Amino acid sequence: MNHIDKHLTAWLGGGLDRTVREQIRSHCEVCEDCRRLLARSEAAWQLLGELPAPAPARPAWEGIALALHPQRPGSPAWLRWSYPAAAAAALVCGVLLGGRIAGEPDGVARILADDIIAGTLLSESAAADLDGLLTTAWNDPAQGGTR
Amino acid sequence: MNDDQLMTRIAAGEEAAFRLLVERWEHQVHAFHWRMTGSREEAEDLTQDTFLKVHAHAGGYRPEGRFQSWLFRIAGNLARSWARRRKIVGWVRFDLDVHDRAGREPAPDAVVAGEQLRQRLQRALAGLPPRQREALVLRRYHDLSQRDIAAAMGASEGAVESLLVRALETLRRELAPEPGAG
Repeated sequence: MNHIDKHLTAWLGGGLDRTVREQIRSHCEVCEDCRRLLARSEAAWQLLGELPAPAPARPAWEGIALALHPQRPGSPAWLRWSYPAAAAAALVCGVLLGGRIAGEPDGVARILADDIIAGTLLSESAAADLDGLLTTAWNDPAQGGTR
Repeated sequence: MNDDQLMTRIAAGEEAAFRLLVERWEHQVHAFHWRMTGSREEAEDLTQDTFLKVHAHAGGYRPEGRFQSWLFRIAGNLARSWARRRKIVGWVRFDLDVHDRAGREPAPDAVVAGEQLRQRLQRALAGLPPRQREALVLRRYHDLSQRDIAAAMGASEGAVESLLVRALETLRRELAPEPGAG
Protein backbone atom coordinates (compact mmCIF):
# COMPACT_ATOMS: atom_id res chain seq x y z
CA MET A 1 0.00 0.00 0.00
CA ASN A 2 1.29 3.47 -0.74
CA HIS A 3 0.54 6.68 1.07
CA ILE A 4 1.20 9.33 -1.54
CA ASP A 5 -1.11 8.40 -4.43
CA LYS A 6 -3.48 11.29 -3.88
CA HIS A 7 -0.64 13.79 -4.20
CA LEU A 8 1.25 12.05 -6.95
CA THR A 9 0.09 13.93 -10.05
CA ALA A 10 0.24 17.24 -8.24
CA TRP A 11 3.78 16.39 -7.17
CA LEU A 12 4.78 15.52 -10.72
CA GLY A 13 3.14 18.62 -12.16
CA GLY A 14 4.83 20.84 -9.60
CA GLY A 15 1.50 21.96 -8.22
CA LEU A 16 2.00 21.16 -4.54
CA ASP A 17 2.81 23.76 -1.96
CA ARG A 18 6.12 23.56 -0.16
CA THR A 19 4.69 22.16 3.09
CA VAL A 20 3.06 19.15 1.45
CA ARG A 21 6.18 18.54 -0.66
CA GLU A 22 8.29 18.45 2.46
CA GLN A 23 5.87 16.03 4.11
CA ILE A 24 6.09 13.70 1.12
CA ARG A 25 9.86 13.96 1.01
CA SER A 26 10.10 13.13 4.72
CA HIS A 27 7.68 10.25 4.34
CA CYS A 28 9.64 8.77 1.44
CA GLU A 29 12.79 8.76 3.54
CA VAL A 30 11.23 6.20 5.84
CA CYS A 31 8.85 4.35 3.47
CA GLU A 32 10.55 2.28 0.83
CA ASP A 33 7.35 1.51 -1.11
CA CYS A 34 6.52 5.16 -1.51
CA ARG A 35 10.11 6.04 -2.34
CA ARG A 36 10.09 3.47 -5.15
CA LEU A 37 6.66 4.59 -6.32
CA LEU A 38 7.78 8.20 -6.49
CA ALA A 39 11.01 7.37 -8.30
CA ARG A 40 9.24 5.28 -10.94
CA SER A 41 6.53 7.86 -11.39
CA GLU A 42 9.09 10.59 -11.86
CA ALA A 43 10.96 8.47 -14.40
CA ALA A 44 7.77 7.81 -16.36
CA TRP A 45 6.78 11.47 -16.21
CA GLN A 46 10.21 12.53 -17.42
CA LEU A 47 10.21 10.02 -20.28
CA LEU A 48 6.71 11.02 -21.32
CA GLY A 49 8.02 14.53 -21.77
CA GLU A 50 10.65 13.23 -24.14
CA LEU A 51 8.17 11.64 -26.54
CA PRO A 52 7.95 13.99 -29.48
CA ALA A 53 4.85 14.56 -31.56
CA PRO A 54 5.22 15.12 -35.30
CA ALA A 55 4.44 18.56 -36.69
CA PRO A 56 1.51 18.81 -39.11
CA ALA A 57 2.59 18.11 -42.69
CA ARG A 58 0.75 21.20 -43.93
CA PRO A 59 -0.72 24.29 -42.31
CA ALA A 60 -4.21 23.55 -40.99
CA TRP A 61 -5.51 26.80 -42.44
CA GLU A 62 -5.25 25.47 -46.02
CA GLY A 63 -7.88 22.81 -45.45
CA ILE A 64 -9.96 25.02 -43.18
CA ALA A 65 -10.15 27.86 -45.73
CA LEU A 66 -11.19 25.33 -48.36
CA ALA A 67 -13.92 23.96 -46.09
CA LEU A 68 -15.16 27.47 -45.30
CA HIS A 69 -15.20 28.52 -48.96
CA PRO A 70 -15.79 25.39 -51.03
CA GLN A 71 -16.68 27.47 -54.09
CA ARG A 72 -13.18 28.91 -54.16
CA PRO A 73 -10.78 26.04 -54.71
CA GLY A 74 -7.14 26.64 -53.87
CA SER A 75 -5.78 29.61 -52.11
CA PRO A 76 -5.74 32.47 -52.30
CA ALA A 77 -8.53 32.40 -54.84
CA TRP A 78 -8.80 36.15 -55.28
CA LEU A 79 -5.26 36.24 -56.56
CA ARG A 80 -5.99 33.87 -59.41
CA TRP A 81 -8.76 36.12 -60.68
CA SER A 82 -7.13 39.44 -60.04
CA TYR A 83 -4.87 39.47 -63.11
CA PRO A 84 -7.47 38.71 -65.79
CA ALA A 85 -9.95 40.98 -64.04
CA ALA A 86 -7.44 43.83 -63.92
CA ALA A 87 -6.49 43.21 -67.56
CA ALA A 88 -10.13 43.26 -68.59
CA ALA A 89 -10.79 46.45 -66.65
CA ALA A 90 -7.78 48.13 -68.23
CA LEU A 91 -8.96 46.99 -71.62
CA VAL A 92 -12.43 48.46 -71.15
CA CYS A 93 -10.88 51.78 -70.17
CA GLY A 94 -8.54 51.61 -73.15
CA VAL A 95 -11.31 50.82 -75.63
CA LEU A 96 -13.62 53.51 -74.33
CA LEU A 97 -10.88 56.10 -74.06
CA GLY A 98 -9.58 55.14 -77.52
CA GLY A 99 -13.08 55.58 -78.91
CA ARG A 100 -13.26 59.06 -77.46
CA ILE A 101 -9.92 60.09 -78.88
CA ALA A 102 -10.24 58.51 -82.33
CA GLY A 103 -13.96 58.81 -82.84
CA GLU A 104 -16.46 55.98 -82.26
CA PRO A 105 -14.85 52.58 -81.65
CA ASP A 106 -15.35 50.05 -84.38
CA GLY A 107 -18.02 47.38 -84.10
CA VAL A 108 -15.75 44.61 -82.78
CA ALA A 109 -14.26 46.79 -80.10
CA ARG A 110 -17.68 47.99 -78.96
CA ILE A 111 -19.05 44.44 -78.75
CA LEU A 112 -16.00 43.28 -76.84
CA ALA A 113 -16.18 46.20 -74.46
CA ASP A 114 -19.87 45.47 -73.85
CA ASP A 115 -19.03 41.80 -73.22
CA ILE A 116 -16.31 42.69 -70.75
CA ILE A 117 -18.60 45.03 -68.87
CA ALA A 118 -21.28 42.32 -68.82
CA GLY A 119 -18.75 39.98 -67.22
CA THR A 120 -18.81 37.40 -69.99
CA LEU A 121 -15.10 37.71 -70.70
CA LEU A 122 -13.26 37.17 -67.49
CA SER A 123 -11.15 34.08 -68.03
CA GLU A 124 -7.48 34.33 -68.78
CA SER A 125 -7.87 32.66 -72.18
CA ALA A 126 -10.71 34.98 -73.08
CA ALA A 127 -8.64 37.96 -72.05
CA ALA A 128 -5.82 36.72 -74.27
CA ASP A 129 -8.21 36.27 -77.21
CA LEU A 130 -9.59 39.71 -76.62
CA ASP A 131 -6.16 41.20 -76.56
CA GLY A 132 -5.34 39.59 -79.92
CA LEU A 133 -8.58 40.71 -81.55
CA LEU A 134 -8.23 44.27 -80.39
CA THR A 135 -4.64 44.47 -81.53
CA THR A 136 -5.73 43.35 -84.98
CA ALA A 137 -8.67 45.74 -85.04
CA TRP A 138 -6.50 48.56 -83.80
CA ASN A 139 -3.81 47.99 -86.44
CA ASP A 140 -5.98 47.06 -89.44
CA PRO A 141 -7.67 50.05 -91.09
CA ALA A 142 -9.95 47.65 -92.96
CA GLN A 143 -11.53 46.73 -89.63
CA GLY A 144 -11.85 50.33 -88.59
CA GLY A 145 -8.45 50.54 -86.92
CA THR A 146 -6.72 53.85 -86.69
CA ARG A 147 -3.25 52.86 -87.84
CA MET B 1 -4.83 39.94 -28.61
CA ASN B 2 -5.88 37.09 -26.32
CA ASP B 3 -7.99 34.07 -27.25
CA ASP B 4 -11.20 35.47 -25.79
CA GLN B 5 -10.83 38.65 -27.84
CA LEU B 6 -10.18 36.60 -30.95
CA MET B 7 -13.27 34.50 -30.27
CA THR B 8 -15.39 37.63 -29.98
CA ARG B 9 -14.14 38.76 -33.37
CA ILE B 10 -14.64 35.32 -34.88
CA ALA B 11 -18.22 35.35 -33.65
CA ALA B 12 -18.61 38.70 -35.42
CA GLY B 13 -17.46 37.07 -38.65
CA GLU B 14 -13.82 38.19 -38.84
CA GLU B 15 -12.01 35.52 -40.79
CA ALA B 16 -8.59 37.05 -40.11
CA ALA B 17 -9.17 36.55 -36.37
CA PHE B 18 -10.08 32.93 -36.99
CA ARG B 19 -6.94 32.38 -39.02
CA LEU B 20 -4.84 33.88 -36.24
CA LEU B 21 -6.46 31.56 -33.70
CA VAL B 22 -5.88 28.51 -35.91
CA GLU B 23 -2.24 29.40 -36.39
CA ARG B 24 -1.81 29.95 -32.66
CA TRP B 25 -3.24 26.57 -31.62
CA GLU B 26 -2.83 24.18 -34.54
CA HIS B 27 0.36 22.55 -33.30
CA GLN B 28 -1.09 21.83 -29.87
CA VAL B 29 -4.33 20.50 -31.29
CA HIS B 30 -2.50 18.38 -33.84
CA ALA B 31 -0.19 16.96 -31.18
CA PHE B 32 -3.18 16.13 -28.99
CA HIS B 33 -4.93 14.30 -31.81
CA TRP B 34 -1.77 12.51 -32.78
CA ARG B 35 -1.35 11.24 -29.24
CA MET B 36 -4.98 10.18 -29.16
CA THR B 37 -5.09 8.47 -32.56
CA GLY B 38 -1.48 7.53 -33.31
CA SER B 39 -1.89 8.63 -36.91
CA ARG B 40 -0.64 11.77 -38.59
CA GLU B 41 -3.35 11.74 -41.22
CA GLU B 42 -6.14 11.24 -38.72
CA ALA B 43 -4.60 13.93 -36.53
CA GLU B 44 -4.64 16.38 -39.44
CA ASP B 45 -8.26 15.63 -40.28
CA LEU B 46 -9.34 15.86 -36.64
CA THR B 47 -7.40 19.10 -36.20
CA GLN B 48 -9.27 20.60 -39.11
CA ASP B 49 -12.60 19.32 -37.75
CA THR B 50 -11.79 20.77 -34.34
CA PHE B 51 -11.26 24.26 -35.74
CA LEU B 52 -14.32 24.06 -37.95
CA LYS B 53 -16.34 23.29 -34.84
CA VAL B 54 -14.68 26.19 -33.03
CA HIS B 55 -15.78 28.41 -35.91
CA ALA B 56 -19.29 27.00 -36.00
CA HIS B 57 -19.79 27.42 -32.25
CA ALA B 58 -17.97 30.72 -31.80
CA GLY B 59 -21.26 32.48 -31.15
CA GLY B 60 -21.93 30.27 -28.14
CA TYR B 61 -18.51 30.74 -26.55
CA ARG B 62 -18.48 32.63 -23.27
CA PRO B 63 -15.26 34.64 -22.96
CA GLU B 64 -14.32 33.77 -19.39
CA GLY B 65 -10.64 33.07 -19.93
CA ARG B 66 -11.09 29.30 -20.25
CA PHE B 67 -10.52 29.01 -23.96
CA GLN B 68 -8.02 26.16 -23.72
CA SER B 69 -10.45 23.95 -21.79
CA TRP B 70 -13.20 24.75 -24.27
CA LEU B 71 -10.92 24.00 -27.22
CA PHE B 72 -9.79 20.69 -25.79
CA ARG B 73 -13.32 19.73 -24.91
CA ILE B 74 -14.15 19.97 -28.61
CA ALA B 75 -10.95 18.16 -29.55
CA GLY B 76 -11.55 15.43 -26.96
CA ASN B 77 -15.14 14.86 -28.11
CA LEU B 78 -13.93 14.46 -31.67
CA ALA B 79 -11.12 12.10 -30.66
CA ARG B 80 -13.52 9.92 -28.66
CA SER B 81 -16.03 9.86 -31.52
CA TRP B 82 -13.24 8.84 -33.84
CA ALA B 83 -12.24 6.01 -31.48
CA ARG B 84 -15.85 4.81 -31.29
CA ARG B 85 -16.21 4.89 -35.07
CA ARG B 86 -13.05 2.88 -35.48
CA LYS B 87 -14.07 0.52 -32.70
CA ILE B 88 -10.55 0.57 -31.39
CA VAL B 89 -11.30 1.98 -27.99
CA GLY B 90 -8.24 1.40 -25.87
CA TRP B 91 -6.03 0.39 -28.74
CA VAL B 92 -4.03 2.69 -30.95
CA ARG B 93 -1.11 1.94 -33.17
CA PHE B 94 1.40 4.75 -33.19
CA ASP B 95 3.54 5.78 -36.13
CA LEU B 96 6.63 4.96 -34.14
CA ASP B 97 8.90 5.97 -36.99
CA VAL B 98 8.56 9.58 -35.88
CA HIS B 99 10.75 8.61 -32.96
CA ASP B 100 13.44 7.13 -35.12
CA ARG B 101 16.76 8.78 -34.72
CA ALA B 102 17.64 11.08 -37.57
CA GLY B 103 20.82 9.25 -38.50
CA ARG B 104 21.29 5.55 -38.94
CA GLU B 105 24.80 5.33 -37.61
CA PRO B 106 25.45 2.68 -34.95
CA ALA B 107 24.22 3.94 -31.61
CA PRO B 108 25.79 3.38 -28.20
CA ASP B 109 24.03 0.82 -26.03
CA ALA B 110 22.71 3.47 -23.68
CA VAL B 111 21.08 5.32 -26.56
CA VAL B 112 19.50 2.12 -27.86
CA ALA B 113 18.25 1.25 -24.39
CA GLY B 114 16.81 4.72 -23.98
CA GLU B 115 15.11 4.48 -27.35
CA GLN B 116 13.65 1.09 -26.50
CA LEU B 117 12.37 2.46 -23.23
CA ARG B 118 10.69 5.37 -24.99
CA GLN B 119 9.08 3.00 -27.46
CA ARG B 120 7.79 0.82 -24.63
CA LEU B 121 6.37 3.88 -22.99
CA GLN B 122 4.80 5.03 -26.25
CA ARG B 123 3.12 1.66 -26.66
CA ALA B 124 1.93 1.75 -23.06
CA LEU B 125 0.50 5.22 -23.62
CA ALA B 126 -1.23 4.02 -26.76
CA GLY B 127 -2.67 1.06 -24.88
CA LEU B 128 -4.29 3.15 -22.16
CA PRO B 129 -8.08 3.40 -22.19
CA PRO B 130 -9.00 6.59 -24.07
CA ARG B 131 -10.16 8.58 -21.08
CA GLN B 132 -7.03 7.77 -19.09
CA ARG B 133 -4.93 8.65 -22.10
CA GLU B 134 -6.81 11.88 -22.67
CA ALA B 135 -6.41 12.99 -19.04
CA LEU B 136 -2.72 12.13 -19.07
CA VAL B 137 -2.04 13.83 -22.41
CA LEU B 138 -3.82 17.01 -21.32
CA ARG B 139 -1.92 17.05 -18.03
CA ARG B 140 1.53 16.15 -19.30
CA TYR B 141 1.69 17.78 -22.72
CA HIS B 142 -0.77 20.64 -22.55
CA ASP B 143 -0.20 21.64 -18.97
CA LEU B 144 -3.88 21.83 -18.11
CA SER B 145 -4.72 21.90 -14.42
CA GLN B 146 -6.91 19.14 -13.07
CA ARG B 147 -9.75 21.64 -12.88
CA ASP B 148 -9.32 22.49 -16.57
CA ILE B 149 -9.05 18.83 -17.52
CA ALA B 150 -12.24 18.16 -15.61
CA ALA B 151 -13.94 20.97 -17.55
CA ALA B 152 -12.55 19.71 -20.85
CA MET B 153 -13.61 16.12 -20.21
CA GLY B 154 -16.93 16.89 -18.58
CA ALA B 155 -15.85 15.02 -15.43
CA SER B 156 -15.27 15.83 -11.78
CA GLU B 157 -11.81 16.70 -10.54
CA GLY B 158 -11.86 13.53 -8.43
CA ALA B 159 -12.58 11.43 -11.51
CA VAL B 160 -9.70 13.08 -13.35
CA GLU B 161 -7.37 12.39 -10.44
CA SER B 162 -8.43 8.75 -10.49
CA LEU B 163 -7.84 8.52 -14.26
CA LEU B 164 -4.39 10.01 -13.86
CA VAL B 165 -3.42 7.71 -11.00
CA ARG B 166 -4.49 4.63 -12.95
CA ALA B 167 -2.71 5.81 -16.08
CA LEU B 168 0.50 6.39 -14.15
CA GLU B 169 0.20 3.00 -12.53
CA THR B 170 0.10 1.36 -15.95
CA LEU B 171 3.08 3.33 -17.19
CA ARG B 172 5.08 2.53 -14.06
CA ARG B 173 4.40 -1.15 -14.57
CA GLU B 174 5.59 -0.87 -18.15
CA LEU B 175 8.81 0.80 -17.11
CA ALA B 176 9.55 -1.54 -14.22
CA PRO B 177 12.63 -3.69 -14.81
CA GLU B 178 11.72 -7.00 -16.39
CA PRO B 179 12.17 -10.04 -14.10
CA GLY B 180 15.69 -11.32 -14.37
CA ALA B 181 16.99 -8.10 -15.92
CA GLY B 182 20.05 -6.46 -14.36
